[in-house]
Amino acid sequence: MEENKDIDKILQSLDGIQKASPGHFFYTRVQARLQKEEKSTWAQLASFLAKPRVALSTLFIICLLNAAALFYQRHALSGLPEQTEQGSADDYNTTLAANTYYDENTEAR
Amino acid sequence: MDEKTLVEQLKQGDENAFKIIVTSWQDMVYNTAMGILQSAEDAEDVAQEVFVQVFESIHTFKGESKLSTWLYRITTSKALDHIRRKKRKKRFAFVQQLFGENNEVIAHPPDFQHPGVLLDNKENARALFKAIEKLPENQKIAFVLNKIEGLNYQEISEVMNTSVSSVESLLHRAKTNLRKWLQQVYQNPDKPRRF
Repeated sequence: MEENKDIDKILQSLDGIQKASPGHFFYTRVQARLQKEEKSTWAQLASFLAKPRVALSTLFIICLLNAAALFYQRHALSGLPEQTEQGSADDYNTTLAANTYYDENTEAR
Repeated sequence: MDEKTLVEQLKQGDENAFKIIVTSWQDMVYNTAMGILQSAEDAEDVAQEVFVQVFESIHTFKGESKLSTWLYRITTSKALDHIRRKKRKKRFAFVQQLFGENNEVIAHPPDFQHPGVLLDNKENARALFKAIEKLPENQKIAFVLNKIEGLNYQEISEVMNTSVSSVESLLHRAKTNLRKWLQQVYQNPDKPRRF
């Protein structure tokens, strides 16, 4: 009986408890923590990228992308009609003719 | 300034809004953490962590619950994580000690004394906190929110994402466990007991 009373007292010992509060300048400490976390996030990122496994994987992916780009470029070029020598000569003549025409007009003035 | 405006301003990176949130809810967060962790230093550490997370993940807060409910959720989960981390460290230190790699003595903190307990209840509260420490996680959270934070069953169910009847059941089991443990201590005060 006595025991139960005592245990009830213990169980009721938190009745009317006041709230605990952190010390002064808590916001300043939170701000400092935030800045520290931001710094450490960058440091974490740098150390993650510096890991040999990550660095080698990144290098491999870059090489793979380059190879793929090269392959697709060649593939695209092979689909175009080949430029013949005559074609090039025609192009050249056209350009030359245009230049000559321009020169003649300039002289006439 | 109302809660919704504060949240919107913080989402836009307003530092003043963050300051208002910290100063308005710091006691609630700290007091909850202290009830669960039973250490002023750990409670301070976790309270800081909570507000850092609030700042970093405010964009995930959709406003479906009250800001205080969201803060309680972060605080309880961070506090439980802190306890688990501490236990892991303790186990690791114990193993190291067994193999003679670490000769440091594992520190056992003294009995916790909550600063808000009334003077007449100090001794009884000390015994109760010792028992609360041994409660399973969910029962501990429900008991702390009810007895130390003064939340009602409905509010606890919102924090714990469960039904009111589950909270009733958790609190009933918590009180039964506490009573059982306190009876054992009462009958054999010298013998250390566990559930």
